[in-house]
Formats: sequence, C-alpha cells, structure tokens
Amino acid sequence: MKLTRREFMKTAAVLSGAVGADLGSGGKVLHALSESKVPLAQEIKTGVVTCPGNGCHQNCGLRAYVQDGVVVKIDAAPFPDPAVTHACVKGLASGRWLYHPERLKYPMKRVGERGSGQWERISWEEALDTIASKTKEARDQYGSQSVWIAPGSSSYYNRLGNDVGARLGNLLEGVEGWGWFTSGDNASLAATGLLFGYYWFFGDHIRDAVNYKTYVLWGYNLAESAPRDMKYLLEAKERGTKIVYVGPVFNKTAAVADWFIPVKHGGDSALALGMMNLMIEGGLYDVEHLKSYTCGPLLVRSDNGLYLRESDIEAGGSEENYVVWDSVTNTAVVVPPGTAPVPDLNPSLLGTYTVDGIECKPAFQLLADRAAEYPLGRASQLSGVPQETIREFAMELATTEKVYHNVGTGPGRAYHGTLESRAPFTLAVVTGHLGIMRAGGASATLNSITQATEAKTVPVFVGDLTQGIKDGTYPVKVYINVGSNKFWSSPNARITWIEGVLPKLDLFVTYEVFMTWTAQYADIVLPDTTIFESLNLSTPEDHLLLTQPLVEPMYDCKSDTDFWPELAQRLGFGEYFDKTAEGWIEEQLASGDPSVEGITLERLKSEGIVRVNAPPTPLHYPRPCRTPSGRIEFYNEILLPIGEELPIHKDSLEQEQFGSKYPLNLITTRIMFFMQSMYTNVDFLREIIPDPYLEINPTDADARGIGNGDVARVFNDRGEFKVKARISQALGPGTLNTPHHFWPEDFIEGHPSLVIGPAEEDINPIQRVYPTFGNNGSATGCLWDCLVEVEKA
Amino acid sequence: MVKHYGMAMDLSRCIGCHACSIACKIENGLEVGMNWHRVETIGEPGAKVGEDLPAGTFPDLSMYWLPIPCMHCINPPCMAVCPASAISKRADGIVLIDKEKCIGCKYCVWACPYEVPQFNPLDGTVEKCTFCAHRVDQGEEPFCVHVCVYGARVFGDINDPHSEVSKLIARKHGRVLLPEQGVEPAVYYLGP
Repeated sequence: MKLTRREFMKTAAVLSGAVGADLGSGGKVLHALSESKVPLAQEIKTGVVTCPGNGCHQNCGLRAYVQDGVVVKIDAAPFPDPAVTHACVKGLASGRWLYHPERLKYPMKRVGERGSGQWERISWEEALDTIASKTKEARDQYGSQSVWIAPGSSSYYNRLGNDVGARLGNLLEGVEGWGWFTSGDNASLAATGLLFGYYWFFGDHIRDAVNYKTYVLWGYNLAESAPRDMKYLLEAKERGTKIVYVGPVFNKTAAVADWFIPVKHGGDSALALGMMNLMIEGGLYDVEHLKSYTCGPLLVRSDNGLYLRESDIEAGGSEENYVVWDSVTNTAVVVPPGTAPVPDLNPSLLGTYTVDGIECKPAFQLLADRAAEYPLGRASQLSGVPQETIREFAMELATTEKVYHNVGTGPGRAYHGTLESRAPFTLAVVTGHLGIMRAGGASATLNSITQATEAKTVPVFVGDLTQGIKDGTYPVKVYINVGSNKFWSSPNARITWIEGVLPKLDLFVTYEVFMTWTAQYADIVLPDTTIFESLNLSTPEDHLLLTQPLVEPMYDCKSDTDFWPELAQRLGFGEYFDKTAEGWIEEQLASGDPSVEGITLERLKSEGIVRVNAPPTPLHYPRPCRTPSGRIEFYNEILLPIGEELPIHKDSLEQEQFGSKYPLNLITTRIMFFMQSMYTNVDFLREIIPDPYLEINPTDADARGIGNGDVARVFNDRGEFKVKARISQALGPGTLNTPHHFWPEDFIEGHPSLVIGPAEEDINPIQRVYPTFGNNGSATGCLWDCLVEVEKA
Repeated sequence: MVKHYGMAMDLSRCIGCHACSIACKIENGLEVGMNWHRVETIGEPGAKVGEDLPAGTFPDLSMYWLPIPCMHCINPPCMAVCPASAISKRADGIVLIDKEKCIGCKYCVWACPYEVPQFNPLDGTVEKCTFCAHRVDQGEEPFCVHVCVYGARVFGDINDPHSEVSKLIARKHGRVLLPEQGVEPAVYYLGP
C-alpha cells in the first residue's frame, strides 16, 4: 500500500494518538493535490492567528492553512494596511512548534524531589483541587500575600488568558512581581520617561526612517529583534538614508548598516557624553531648541542642586515656576512650566549667575560641565570607540539636519542601565534631533477585564520579592507561574530560584506548552493550549486581530482562559468569572472608545483583522512635555540622591565586585531564529542554528589557547557553563557573546544564567527613586553586566 | 522568445533570515536534513550555513548573504549527465527530477556547480528545488518568493524584457554565479 502523505498523517495520528506528531508540513499534500488537479480551495481552509512568538511585541498575523483539522502551512495574514502583513522565519516554522512531539500532554504532579524528572499523570480535577486547597491553606495561615499568581507569558501570545488570570490575582490580593529581570527595554523606556515625562519613543515611527538623512540605531539590532520593522530600514536605505549601527557586536543589522560604530557594552553613555563635549565645545548645538523646549536655560542652584524656583527668590512666589537668566536685560526672569518660547526673552544657556545671593547655573551649563569630564581620550577609553570615529560621528550628527536616534534595549542591560539610554537621548536633545514626524500612532483602546472589584495585587519589585520570599518578608507559599520560563530568563536560576525561592514554597505550579527548565522544578505542571487552539484578541499596530481556534485543543490541554474560572470557582470567586472566552472579548471591545466603536466580535469573526477607527496621526514628541517643568529634562532633580541628575558613565557592578579578577564581559544577545527561550526546540530552526556557541575574538581565544570549535568553560565565582567556541571578528577583544535562547540541555554543561548575578542585585538603582512605571516594570534588570573568564575545557 | 522562468535576488534586501529555506521545507514537505534551498553567509571564508561570521578585522567588517535555489540553468549540467534520463526541462525552463526514473547514482549531485541536488537517503533518489512548479502551474509564485517580506526575491520570465524580473536585472546589473561554468543559470544576483 502506498499512502499519500495525507493518509499517512491520519494513520500516524491514529497510531500515535498524537495528531501530527511529526508534521506541521503539508507541502507534499499540496504537491500531490496539484498533480492530481484537485482544486486547492475545496480542501484547505485558512484562518488568521496572532504569531505565537510574542517577545518581539510585533504581534504579526499569521495565515494558517488548515486541512482536516491540521495546520499544514503558514504564511503572513493579509492586513488592511499591507505594511503590517508579515511573517518571519519563526512564524513560518510555527507549525513545527504546534505539532512538536514533546508538547506537554496532560496535567502531572511530581512524585520525586523537585527537579528529579519523576512525574505522575493526574486529572484536571485533581490538579485544580490541589491548587485550590493549597491556596486556601496558605491564605488562612499566612494571609493573602502568600499567593503569587503570575499570569503572563512571553512564550506565546495570550492576552486574554493573562487578563483573566490577572483578574483572579487581583481578587486574591496576592503579590505580583514587577520590573522583570531581563528588562533592558524598561531601562530605555525609563530614560524617555525622565526626559519627556512620557514613554513615547517606542513605536511605529520606524516607518518614518525614510524621511531622515541619517538614522542611528543605538544597540537596536532591528533585523533580529523586530524583523517586521526591518523592512522600513531597508526601504529607507535604498532611498538614501544613511544607517548607523552602534553596538558591541557586528550582527545582521550592522551588516546592513552603512556605518558600524563599535561600542563596548556599557559604553554608550561615555560615547554620547564625549560627542556632546565636542559639540558643545564647537558651538554645534541647537540653541533655539534648547532655549525653548528643554530645561537648558532653567537655573539650578549650586548649593543644593535643585532648580531655582520663584518661591526661592520672591515671597509668595510659586514653587512651580522656574527662573531663567535673560541675557538681554541681564536679569532673572520667572518662567512658568511649559515650552512656549517667551517673546523678547533670550535666556542664557551658559554661565554662572547670582540671584538674590543664590549662585546658579543654567542646566545646560551643568550638562556642558559634565560633558567636559569626557574629553576624547577618556570617552574613547571608556566606550572602546576610536577617538577619530567619535570625532567623525559627532561632526556628522552635528552637521546633518535630519537625524533620528532609535535607542534599543541592549544598552540598558547594564548597571544603572537607564544612563546608557539617557545619554544618547540627551545627545539628540542637544542637537535638536527629536523625531518630528511619526506616522501611525493609532491603536485600539480596549477595556481592561483584570479588575473585578477594588481588590488588587500588591506589586513588588521582583528583586525585592524574590529576596523577600527568601528572608520571610513576603510569606509566599503558592506560586502559579503561567507560560514563563523564569529560570531561563532570570539572572542566576540557581541563586534566585533553585536555592532561593523554591525551598520556601509549598506549591509551585507551572502552566506551559513544553517541559521547560522552570517546569522541570514545578510541583504541578499543567499543559497549556497554544494560540492555534484558543480564542484571543491582539492589537498589531493600528489593527485588531481575532484569533479563533483553528485546531481542537490537543491531548488533554486546556486554555488558561478556561482554567482560571474553574480555580476561581473553587476559591469562592466564581461569581466574577461568569463569562466564556467570547464574552470576555466582547467586554474588552466594549470600551466605548472611538478607536473600536462599531467593531464587534461578530465583525471580527467574519473579517479576522480589522483596522481601528482612529486614523494615524502625525505626532510630535509631547509639547509641553509631561515633566515637572513641561520641558525636556536632561537634568532630573529626582535623581540627585543617586548622583544621576545628569547623564554620567558608571562602571559595571561586576567591576566593583570582582575588580580585574574576571576580564571578559559576557553578553547574551538575541538572534532572529528563536524568541526568548521559545522555538529553541523547533527542529527546522535548529537545522540553521544547531547548537549554542560562544563568540570570542581571536585575540582572546589565542591568549587562552582556544581554537574554533573547542569546548570552552566560561566561569566566575557564581558558576560556569561549557559551550563550543566560535572564533569570530564580529566582536572585539574583551567581549564574549552567546545567544540567549538555548536551554540547559543544549549546553555541554551548565547554562549562562548560572554566571550572572542574582535578581536581588540592585542592578538599576534608579527604580528606587523613579518607580513610576508601575506594574509594567520600571527601569530594571540586566543580564549583560557580567564578567567572566574563559578557558579551554 | 520562448518563456524561461528565472529569479532575481536583490542582495541589498537580504538579511540572511532563512525564511526562504524554511518556507521551502514546509511547502515541499522536506524532512529534517533535506534542504532544497540554502542561504550562505558571505564573510569569513568557511562559514557554514547559519554562521554569521563577518570578513575583515573588528571593527572593519563586511557580511552579506547569498540565497541559493536551483538555478534552473539554460544548459543544465545535471540533465546532461543523468544516465537514467530522469532530469528534464519543461517548456517554461523549469528543470525537474522525475523520482520514479531516478536511480540515485548522484551524477547530478557531482555535476551541479552550485551543489543544489540533494540525495535523499530515505528513498535513495535525488531531489531538488522545483521553483515550486506545482504553485507556478496554479498561477502562484514559488513559496520562497511569496514569503520574502523584504522583497529580496523576484520571480518571472527572464526572456521577456518587459517582465519585472528582467527589468530589475537590467536596472541593477544582475550577475550570475560561476558564469565560467557555462551553464547559463536563470537566477541572477543584484548588489549588494
């Protein structure tokens, strides 16, 4: 008997009890069909699905071709705005993830020690009953803060499940960790918050790249981090925009760029300050912009570092008004918050003035003084960028009219990470290069369904939470972790979790698609459906995308959108979970916001992807800014206690801790074939990137007798891992790089997580004084402030 | 002039994402280990597929990528050496291997200067890129072209001077790989 592939698939499904265990591929089906002249349309139906890979935040729409209930092929779903139509290599390979033979298939409880790999299948009833009774016990004995519900996932896109889970978390008034470890992203966002009072730089303005003469990417490996946005960069380049990539590794984005500026990790601040120094010395700064729209002319008291207020110099004066020095009349003039240029006023940017006996300097003078601490030699030494390159780069930026600075997430993965983004942004402020155009900007405003009553979780900065669980400050006994591979993503899984948090827990639940490193240590593992099997709503750019279940839930998997209500019922909160998945989505859509007016579930069901009503509006950065002064503030009073009121370069925490004991900086960058720790087990993608590797410059390799392909042992006081060395010119001496996606089982021994400092290290002290980012995480975290040594194993 | 399908690869729009290679595997039902399409990194000599090793000395470096499908040559050397007459050229230029006739002798594997034909140990025959002839026959583009979001691949009739692919080749001075082999490949490379 000669089976067609389709017949084979059916047979295999029956034989293995696992639909399409080896599949995800329908090519031969299509091929066979075309040969037999059977019209495709009769056999294949298509549906749209939000790409499972969520960590790039692009929320692309995939079009899945479904045949007999099996996804046989995937390409990009067409969007009303064709510019958003996109599927990257990961999205295309998602079928191999969906039908991966190692998917979790049923609930399990451990029957050996944590991490021993000994499991026993249990029913959902038993799992739910156990979780409910342990949760009740913990709440009775230790109070509401003994429960940590962590819905949320970067392992696949699941907005609906996250929100329903957060609803239960809020009702339980448990703890919630915020400011996740890996969030260099947030360090950069915090920088914009400080400067503009508003997190405005992330977004869709990459479409405007074509309008700039020079487009600078600071540590933003666009090609591999945001593949959809990359097409705008290629388009801009073809039409004459000069692309500059600033970063420690010559990656795909650097290869496409016109100019690669090699900066050491943690050196962006010194590079930007050095360039500002050259610009200010040479008078190459945007005087009008600085005077009218920035804190540059506002006087700062020399005695206490605070802005001089009207109340300091006039009885009954306002504490909200600032003071500038008018160079025409040579007098101090009070200015209210705001950015409008004042007619007939020419405030000084430089100099020292005495007002009512108080010595003051304009904030720009202070910035100039700070920049002067970074003469070319020092800036070069700290940043690793050759002096001539710094000069050339500074002159190019200072003399080009249209420049855009796009600061990515890499620079922020440093000690005091926000500084690494603030300095480049401040450079843009000095030259007046702050994106004028911004297409897009429209997005759907949906109802939040996370809040059922006034009850709310207690957000705790996650480093404090993990430390607090260890020392008893937070009596967490039950931790329900959904779709998050926290061991993998945390700095130092051993110190933070295995020897830290876990021994304190009575119940650790992980709800996952695969047996991740984190799931291996759980007490109960729950098998999640993927987005292909469940209902969800996403908001890619200015569209709404409804994912409808394309395949039946596989095995004994259950969507967490259905799980949380069942748990809530057992905990006595059932009345707040009276909706089906469709009902939740209807509630999300009923925000009353004009952006989604008239967009119903029915319409989404028939159209799949709908453009929101709000038209894209060209945006300026907010004027006035939402800072205290209403101006762009490169001088931040709030940061005086930690000495960061102005941009400054700080050495790495590791240098403080280890001195010169470990001379090499280990960074763990992203490559485009995997998403965080997801897709790493997809066979087709592993054909391209078979194994983890350690990129090492030949200078460092030769000095240690390490040859290409040798097993290298990377170590410091905290731990070690073993990996094959790849001798490469892509990075400079002193830096090591290993892609961050791999699982412990992929390494010869250990894992990079084990050499990185634990979560409790106060890696970005700014979050102590500027915690305004709330539950979305603040300036935090980094995995790249890590010094190691390497030797041939 | 008689139709001859071909492709233009705009290397300035290729970032080495390998979506084309993955798409090929899915569309054509290839197993792990079988690859009808590959993307080479052009940098440090000897870099394997997937190894982004730039050429030069840090930080003065360069790197680009070369997607390699079957070239569907005008004078296909694989066809010339096949002792089983298993390789044929369609009227539209597409070169196909008939797996029913293939005896797995691998002469074509050795004859192809682009290392395209792949021996499949599972069935003992040789396979290669078909330009997705099954899609082309339905009026669709090859799947690798369809999924290339950066517009690095254009498919069409290279003998029609008015086709998009011909105009692009003319405008951007397309070149072929290994012209000295005299096989007249139908895949052109533009830039970088």
